[in-house]
Formats: sequence, C-alpha cells, structure tokens
Amino acid sequence: MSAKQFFKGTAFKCIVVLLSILLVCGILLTICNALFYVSEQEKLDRVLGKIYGESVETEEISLDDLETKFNYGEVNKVYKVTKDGNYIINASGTGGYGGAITSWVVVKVENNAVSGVGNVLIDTAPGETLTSSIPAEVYQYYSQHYVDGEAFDVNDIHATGLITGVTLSTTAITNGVNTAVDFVKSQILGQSIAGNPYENYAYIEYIDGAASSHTVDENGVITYDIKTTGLGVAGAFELTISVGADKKVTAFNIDVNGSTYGYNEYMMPDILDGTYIVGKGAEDFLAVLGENADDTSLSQIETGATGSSETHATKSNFLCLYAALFATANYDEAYTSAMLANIVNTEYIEMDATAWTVADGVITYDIKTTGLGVAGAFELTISVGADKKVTAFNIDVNGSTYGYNEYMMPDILDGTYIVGKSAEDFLAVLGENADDTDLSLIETGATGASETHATKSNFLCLYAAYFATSNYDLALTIGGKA
Amino acid sequence: MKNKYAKITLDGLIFNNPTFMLVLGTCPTLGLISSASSALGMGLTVVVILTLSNMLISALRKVIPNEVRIPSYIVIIATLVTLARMILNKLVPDLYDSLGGFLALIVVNCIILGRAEAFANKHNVLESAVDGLANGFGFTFALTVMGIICEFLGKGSLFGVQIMSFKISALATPAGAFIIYGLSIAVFTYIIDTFMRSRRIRGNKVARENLLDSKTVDAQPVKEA
Repeated sequence: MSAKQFFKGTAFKCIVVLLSILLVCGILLTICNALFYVSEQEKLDRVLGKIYGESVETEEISLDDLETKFNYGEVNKVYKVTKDGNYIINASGTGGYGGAITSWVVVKVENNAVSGVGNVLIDTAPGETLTSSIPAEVYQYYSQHYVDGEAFDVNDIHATGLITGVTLSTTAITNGVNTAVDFVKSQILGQSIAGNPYENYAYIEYIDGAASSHTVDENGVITYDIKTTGLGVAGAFELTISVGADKKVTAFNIDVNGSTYGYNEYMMPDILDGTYIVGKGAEDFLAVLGENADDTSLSQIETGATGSSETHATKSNFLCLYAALFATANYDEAYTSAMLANIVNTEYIEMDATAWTVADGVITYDIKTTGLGVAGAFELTISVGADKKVTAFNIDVNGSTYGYNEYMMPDILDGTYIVGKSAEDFLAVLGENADDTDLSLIETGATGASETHATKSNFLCLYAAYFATSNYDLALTIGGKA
Repeated sequence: MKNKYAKITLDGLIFNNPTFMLVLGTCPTLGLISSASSALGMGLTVVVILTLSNMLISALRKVIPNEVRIPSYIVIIATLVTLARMILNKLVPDLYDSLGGFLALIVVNCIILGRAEAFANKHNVLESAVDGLANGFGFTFALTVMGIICEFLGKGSLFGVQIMSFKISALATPAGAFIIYGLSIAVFTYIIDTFMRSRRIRGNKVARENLLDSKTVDAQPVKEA
C-alpha cells in the first residue's frame, strides 16, 4: 500500500476521527476541570458546614511528628475548631468491602479529655457501593453511645438492628471513628491507649489484638481471651482458649458467637462445643486451613475438611479455627511475654533494648537504662551468678552528659562497688522503694565512696544492678531474651 | 411527523421502557433503589447524559467510520459522564456522594450505549434527542417508583422523611431490591399486556364492524333507474 493509498484509506480516516474526538474531549475536560475543581479548602468548608451548620474557623494540625497509624486505621488530616476546641479528623478505617473508607469524624474534647464523638461523615469510599444504604441512625450511633475507654464495635451496631447487608462498610466507618478517637487521645492529649501487643505474632490477620489478652499459670498453661475481627457477614467472636505446655489446645469456649442472621445454628457442632479443637496443635489447624493460613481458601472448611458435616457457616467456623491456630502457633511468644510482664523494677530500664542470656546458671544481661534528668541512657553488661550476686559489671556506654562521667564514683565506674552485691544490698542503698529512692542517699556517700555530683549517673548504674539481681529467678525461667 | 415523535416518546417511556421491558441498566437499579432520592438523582443524571450523547452521536454519525464507532461512542459517553461528575461534585455534592461509584459506572450503562448503537446512529439529531429524553425519563420513572417502594417498605421513609417506624430492612438491600425489581417487572408487563390486548380486541372489533358495514353496503340491492 502506497502512502497516498493509506491517506485515502479508511484506516487513516479512523485514526483522524478518533484522535479528533479524543482531542476535543480532552480540551473540554481540561477546561471544565479548571472551572469545577473542588479545592481542599472547599471540601473542608463543606464538611464544616454539615457538622456545624455554619462556617467556623479551624487550625490545621501538622502530622509530621505524630503517629498516624493505629490498630483500626490511619489518620490523614486533623483540624482543631477554634470555637469549641473540638477536633475534626479525616481518618481511614480498614475492613470495608473494597478496602478502607475515609470518614470525617468530630471528636469532642472537654477538660483535656475526650468527651464524645460528634458527627460522622463519609469522605471517600472507593470500592464501596452500598454506603448510601447506611441509615442516618448509624452515624448518630457514635455520638449517642460513646463510652470512654471502649472502642466502638460493629457487632453492637448490628445488635441494634440498624444495619442489614452493609456490615463491611459499617465496619470500616466504625474503624475510622475508633482511629480518630485513638489519635486525639494518644497524640493530642498524650493519654495512653490500648496498643496491639500481638502485632509481631504470627497469624494475626483476623485477631483483634487490642481486645485480646492472655495469662500463664505455674504449669505453663496459657489461657487466651481472644477477640477475632469480623469476616464478611460473620461478626467478631470472643473466645477463651487454653493451650498447654505441649502447645495443644486444652480448653475451648465460645464466649460471644459472632455469627449473624442466625448462622450460629449452622456452625459445625464439634467446633461449637470445642471437641474438634481440643487436643490439636498448630500443625493440625494449618492442615485444615491450608499452607498459608493468612490466605487460606475458605472452601476447604465448607467442603468438610474438618471431618465434620458440611456447613454454611464457613466464616464463623473459620474464625474459630483461626483463633485456635493463633493461640497454638504463638505459644512460645505468648509464654515469654506473659513471663516478661512479671519482671519487676523496670522503671528506669528500656525493656525493648534489654536482653540476657543464660549459661551454667549465670545470667549475663545487656541492659539499657532510660535517661534520668540530665543523665542519658547507660548501656551496661552485668553478670549475675547462681547466688544471685553480681559477678561482673561493665559500662559499655556511659550516659553521663556535660562531662559528668568524670565525677562518677570511681568504684561504680570500675564496678568494684557493685560486684559481689545482691538485690538486698542495692535496695539498702537505693531505699525501701527503689522506684522512689532518695538520690541524696548516694550523694551523701551512702555507697561508702567519696561524694559526687554525678548523682543520677551513679543511680542508674546501681538501679540496673538491682534490676539484674532482683529478677534472677524469672530471667532464668524465661531462659534468655533477645 | 407528529405521530413519529409520539411513537418514539411512548416507546422510550412505556412500550420499550429500558428498565421494565428491556431490563437494561440493572446494576445502578439494584444498587440505588433503596433510596428514592438517590434513584431520582441517578435517573435525572442519566436523562442528561443519554440525551446529550444521543444528540452528539447522531450529529457525528456520518463522520464516524463504522469500524471505530464503538470506541468513539465510549469516549463521548465517558467525557459526558466525567463532566456530569465534575458538575455534580461542584454544585450538588450531596447527590454526588449518595450516588457513589454508580455515577462513574454510567459510562458502561447499557441503556446509553444501547440507544447510541440502536437509535442515534440511524436517526437525526432531533429524533435522537427525543429518544434520549424518552428513554431517560422511562429509566427515571422506573427507578423512582421502585425507589419509593423500597425506601417506604425498607426504611419507613420517603425521600429521606421518616413516615413510619415499621420497616422490612431486607427490602432496603440489593437483595430486597431484586425482589421489588422482579415484582415491578411483572406488574408493569401485566398492565402493558392487558392494555395491548384490549387495544387489539378493540381494533379487531372495529375492523369487524367495518367489514360488516362494507358487506351490508355490498348486499343492498341496486336501485333500478
């Protein structure tokens, strides 16, 4: 085909027509985008208008130095309303049908505490098609049922009969509200909130870590109080699961059955009463749930892989099995964390940065202290023998500032004062209650050494030695900490 | 000429109603009829887009080569939908929010592409505009009627105003909408069938009478001169 034929042909005409249409449409859209662009300020004004019925003055809070990710979602923008001191939070809650739903949430603050939740409005809901089906009463629920210290639970909203068929979207909105409240409490007001102690554990995708806990008894039996997340139409389950030292389930009980629409009646009977679960270990649950439990195919349960009869309450059965998998697979971590919770005298110890090893009854600690006043953190290596007395002491990093390390007591600096002493000896120096010790005891020469002006540095070294000796038995039982 | 436009209008509104008779645009229908105001808003948006797309495609029908007509239609429709989104977001943000993802999905609404392919590329601009208006309002009528039923029974309200406390929540879900949709199709088809049958019977009766009249005339003896 010659060039002339091409330019006279249909193909060329098609190209020209399509490109022309595209060009005209592109220009039209560009012009209209400039004309109808909705700025961030305009969006904010709309939200404010809906919440307050009038335009109010706000101040944007910078998120640069603040934590924005929480158990239930993420905070995107924060405004403080000058008029009443409330906060307007733009938060994305996880768990929606198509992912996260971003909502505007008013968090009311009175007397430096969160006093409630105001209006809640959906900002964006990509992937959601049913948000228009959520009745207005659901949005009012948050303002009417706020209880300090308790996160909103979509199951409670479900129980009111307000929602039918939009469980996932409502879950994401609820998570957004919880995120907003957590943000104001922890980042604005400086209060502590329940974190997720299980965030580094395995198989946590369907576990509500912030609402779960566990304890360990003297026989090494761990009893979990587990709250699962919701899964599809199934709401959250609350379960009590005990796992023995052999890492197998010894007891299983469903405290709150999250099944909706009466599906609890369709759950496998031997899961409902726990007979299928008791006696099994993580490998057994993995065999049912698939190689990667996080991505398991629910059909494995539906087709009777549990050995039980077929069921239509697939998601409810799955959540129970998943919780049992979580409990058994994380036995070691849970045991260690439960034992670590019993460690005492940690006020000036950075536990996350402190480790120890055990060899022949001698515990060697690598301790990092906190700072104390002008003194920075010390890093120390302390060994404690079977007689619970310090056998070796070394200052790896001296936290003294302004050259105060030179003023520290020489027999603390080289460890001669510390080696050979027990917890009782340190307690005698530090006072009856070491956490509230009177530092002047050291300053006035209570250690038997000369007077010093590096009081805080000396204290931190003695406190670390006290920590190491007083926790000898527990550290030995735990058997080492990385 | 007058009869032609009346026929196009009646076809779009009633006899070939896109929702009840052709069962087109089912996705937004099931998704939005839980709220009468959302249904009405979606319907009116479709009226504007359908009318404009029909007019543009009809005006360009002799320019657009047959081989690229579908992509050309899609580009035109997508542009109109994007424009509608921009305008609604700017001027009617509440409606924009309530329509959610369904607004963007108008691009692939079979009614719009269907009318472009079946009507607009074969008729002039005026006829296409009437067809767009008729089908659009037919769609709006169907959505609004079902939206009123679903919202009233499913939420106990009408256009957002609470009327009664009794409600059957399931009817405000897509599953409930499916039931209402099916029943509405049945009722609408029954009414149209009844109407058509009675018109046919009436037509037959008139034809028979005309036939009898002509036979009577034929049978009369010719008067002798």
